[in-house]
Amino acid sequence: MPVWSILIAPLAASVLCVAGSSTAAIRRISAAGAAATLGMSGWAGCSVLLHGPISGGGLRLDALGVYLALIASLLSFAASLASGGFMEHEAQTENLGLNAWRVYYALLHLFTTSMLWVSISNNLGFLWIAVEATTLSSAFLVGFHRHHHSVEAAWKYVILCSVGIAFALFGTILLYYAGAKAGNGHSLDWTAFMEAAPRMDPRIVRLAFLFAFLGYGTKAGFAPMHTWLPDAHSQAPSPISAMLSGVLLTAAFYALMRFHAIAARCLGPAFPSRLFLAFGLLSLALAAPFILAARDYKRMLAYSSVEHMGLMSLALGIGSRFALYGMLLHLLCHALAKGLAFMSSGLILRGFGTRKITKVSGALSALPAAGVPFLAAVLALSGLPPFGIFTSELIILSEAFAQGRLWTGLAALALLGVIFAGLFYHALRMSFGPAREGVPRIPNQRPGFWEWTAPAACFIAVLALLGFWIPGPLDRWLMEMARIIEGAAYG
Amino acid sequence: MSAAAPPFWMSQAVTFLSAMALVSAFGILSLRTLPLCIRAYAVQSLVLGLAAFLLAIHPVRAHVLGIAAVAILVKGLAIPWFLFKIIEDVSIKRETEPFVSYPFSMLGGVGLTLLSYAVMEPLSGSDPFAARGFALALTLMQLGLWLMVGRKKAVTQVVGLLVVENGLFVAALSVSFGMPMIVELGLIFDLLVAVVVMGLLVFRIQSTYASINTERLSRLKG
Amino acid sequence: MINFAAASAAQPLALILLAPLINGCVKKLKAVLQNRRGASVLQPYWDILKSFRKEEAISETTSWIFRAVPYAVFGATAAACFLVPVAAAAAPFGFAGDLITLVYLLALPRFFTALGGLDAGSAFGGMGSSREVMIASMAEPALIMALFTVGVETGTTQIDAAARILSQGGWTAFSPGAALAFAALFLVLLAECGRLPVDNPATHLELTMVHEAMLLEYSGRSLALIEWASMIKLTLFLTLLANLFLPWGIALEAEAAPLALGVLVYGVKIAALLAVLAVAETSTAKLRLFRVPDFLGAAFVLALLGLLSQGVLRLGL
Repeated sequence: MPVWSILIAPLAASVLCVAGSSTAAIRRISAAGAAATLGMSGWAGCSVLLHGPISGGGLRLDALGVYLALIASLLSFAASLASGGFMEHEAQTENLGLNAWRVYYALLHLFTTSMLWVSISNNLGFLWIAVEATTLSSAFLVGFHRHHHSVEAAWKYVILCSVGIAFALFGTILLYYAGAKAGNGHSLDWTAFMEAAPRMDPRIVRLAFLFAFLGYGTKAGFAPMHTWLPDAHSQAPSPISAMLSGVLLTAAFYALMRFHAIAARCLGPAFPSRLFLAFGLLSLALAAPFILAARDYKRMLAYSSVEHMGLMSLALGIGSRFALYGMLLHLLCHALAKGLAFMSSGLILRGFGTRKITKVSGALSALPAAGVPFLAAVLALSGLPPFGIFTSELIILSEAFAQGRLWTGLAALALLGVIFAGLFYHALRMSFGPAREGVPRIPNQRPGFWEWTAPAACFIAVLALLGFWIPGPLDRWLMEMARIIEGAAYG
Repeated sequence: MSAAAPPFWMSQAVTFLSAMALVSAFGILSLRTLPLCIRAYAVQSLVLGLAAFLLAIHPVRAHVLGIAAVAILVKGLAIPWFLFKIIEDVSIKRETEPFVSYPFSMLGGVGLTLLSYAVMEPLSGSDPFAARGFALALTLMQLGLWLMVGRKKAVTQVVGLLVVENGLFVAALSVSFGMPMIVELGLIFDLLVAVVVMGLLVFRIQSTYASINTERLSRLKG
Repeated sequence: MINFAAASAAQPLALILLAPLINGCVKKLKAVLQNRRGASVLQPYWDILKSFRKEEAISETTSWIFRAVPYAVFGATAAACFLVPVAAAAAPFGFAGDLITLVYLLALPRFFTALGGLDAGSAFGGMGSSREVMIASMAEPALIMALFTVGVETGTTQIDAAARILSQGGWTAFSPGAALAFAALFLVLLAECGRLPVDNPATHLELTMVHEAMLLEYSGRSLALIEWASMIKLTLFLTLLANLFLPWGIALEAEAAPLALGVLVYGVKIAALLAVLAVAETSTAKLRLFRVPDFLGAAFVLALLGLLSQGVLRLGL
């Protein structure tokens, strides 16, 4: 099976959605396409884990890539299901025609395609094109509402991410130059770089890594280049926000992991590690006050994404194998929890008709289908024990102390405490208390069981499960990926 | 370098063209009206395309020739034409409206230029050719970024991004053995898509705000 | 066999005498570009002659400075001509001064014109002087840096030696530093010689004047001398541009053939520059006065980049 075949399902779904003749048909096509995507990724995952990496023609799927591919298809599947309710609501309130449905679903699957493409790119040039393609395909999804705010958000998103990514390309070109001088056969392949890394000129690689870090870091939402993130995440339709936060940031971070592996092999871990630690701490420090003072719950979740990306960056900076293990676990848990949080916040927005935290109360009793998953997801995000994020944060912080990074660990702990307080406070305010009059606004729009309730329940269950039990295969998988990021496994 | 060095006038011409690219970047920083900025961008793209062409004919490298032709067509002609169409269709005022004054943006540009050359200094010992190219590339990228930071109009920000991209083109040219063809074509295609996406967004900004002043795009805070 | 010294001594005189013709050519070219018929290219000569024949009226409130200004202006400008090579790479008084002297010789007339404008005590004169000095304060750094770029490139500040080195160097004269300095010097020329878009030499509206405003009180022979000096200044700048940045073809020895070629090539280069000047002036509108700093800022940055490109910025691909 060629590597690119995992792109077939989402691409076909995208094309078929354009041809869909009715809204119901488009929804069915989309659900089937997303399921097929997930199936293909799952199958590819099994094959990679059992038989080792598949490669060919600048493409390569290894344990790390397939992890990203699975997270992407999982969230894309959930988002595609949740989009039905969202679009129905939009169609009623905004008077959308069939064409809007076609465009929305086509772009959604195109967005998924581009993220899967990121996960299979071995050639760093392809990787760059794929990451840029994620921006371009999601630009109109972010600006879908056509309101002032969403156009503003879309503009900032495209401009900042494109310019950031340009610097990443500069880094890639410098790296290519260094690699070609070191005799890697004029190749842009990650594997070729890994092989040639010890011979490459460290001065050029340092520059290359710096630019790649700034570029992909912008897209991964590291402070202070994160300014596009809260706008885009809060203004995009909620299923899209879930994909942006759960997968898009992860995809950019994935690119950084690849560069980290090369840089660590050439320069030793000290230089990249300093960058990751500094930007990680900065992201945590910047997210904390914004979460505490949040007024808009979608923006609060967006800043929580900055926080979690910061935490993962911190873990990458600590760099020990167990810290990387924690980071990868965190990646999965964050994607699940944030996806859940954004999608349920979309339901709250629909029911309450407001983004203001102060105007939402009693979500649990008035809108249990939205309130319960929202509360669970935000509690998970704040790092409360029964959920997987607690485990991963525990691993990362204990590794910080174990590696002798006392002050980094203490600072991260303190900031996480502040963020915990903020998230906890806001989530409780929104969930409990008496509901306002006339809520939910459109009572006949209960989310369907298969479209929302079942996936949400699965997400919560998995999150809770990962809190106290990591299955053996996953454990081995995480270890394998940690070795890849360390630069120990690339063949 | 390669055994058959290109004739002196040719390398001198490439050097001259690269200086022209730098001058046109400063031109974009200092010009006041959008049509002039777009023309200066077109000049910059053509100059760089010509430089690529000269670099490709001695020794002959077919794929660089192809890329030079595509770059001239897309960046020198198609994109400027599209930008002109945008500013015509949204019928905006021609002024570029700076946040920072023109002299300050020029001097800032000189500072960024020096910074770029300083950053690339460690390279110049081992490979002066590549060091010069990368430094020029970084300069153009930073000037483009500086333009985006310093101007209010959405179209000027697009022009800034295009200058950044021209910097990348220079970077790809300075790798004397050339980037893989498929990647470079991918980049140019990508650029085209990006410009179209941004153009459509400019229309949307225009239709929702009745202005393409990005200063108004500041309602999202906190 | 021609005496090289004599040939070179003829150059400054030719510059001084040809200046009105060159000015007339600019006017004619601009007129043609604007679809007008325009005056004859010899018209500036008649204007100067006419002014020389007219009686001079001098305000009673003026001091001796006012009367000394025309002579100082003309003298300093004419002296500058002796430092600049024209058709042959030799300047008769090259030993007496170099690029730096040239800059000062060009500054001196400006200083005196500004004083003359102030001395009569009229409102427009003072306004013109203050504007002129403001422009000069920004044009001069750019001028100095543009000329120094050439100095650094050739390793000498002697203008004739620089022109010789450049013309012998062939394609090396075609360098990024030279291109940047050329652009800067051209912008400085527009400002220093009172051309559009900085100043309109043909304006009749006192409020928009810069150079003309200072001369409002002058008449007769004084006016003729100052006008002539400003024509010489334009010619001087064009000659500098031609010989320092397009050095090819200048006569290097005192043979008849190279000298004839040098004269011919000089004519072609000046004609080309005149065409560029005329097009530039026709296609731009006058800047508001407060935009002039931006304009000269651009010249300054270009010159700065040119100078830097001789050392720090190794431009190229």
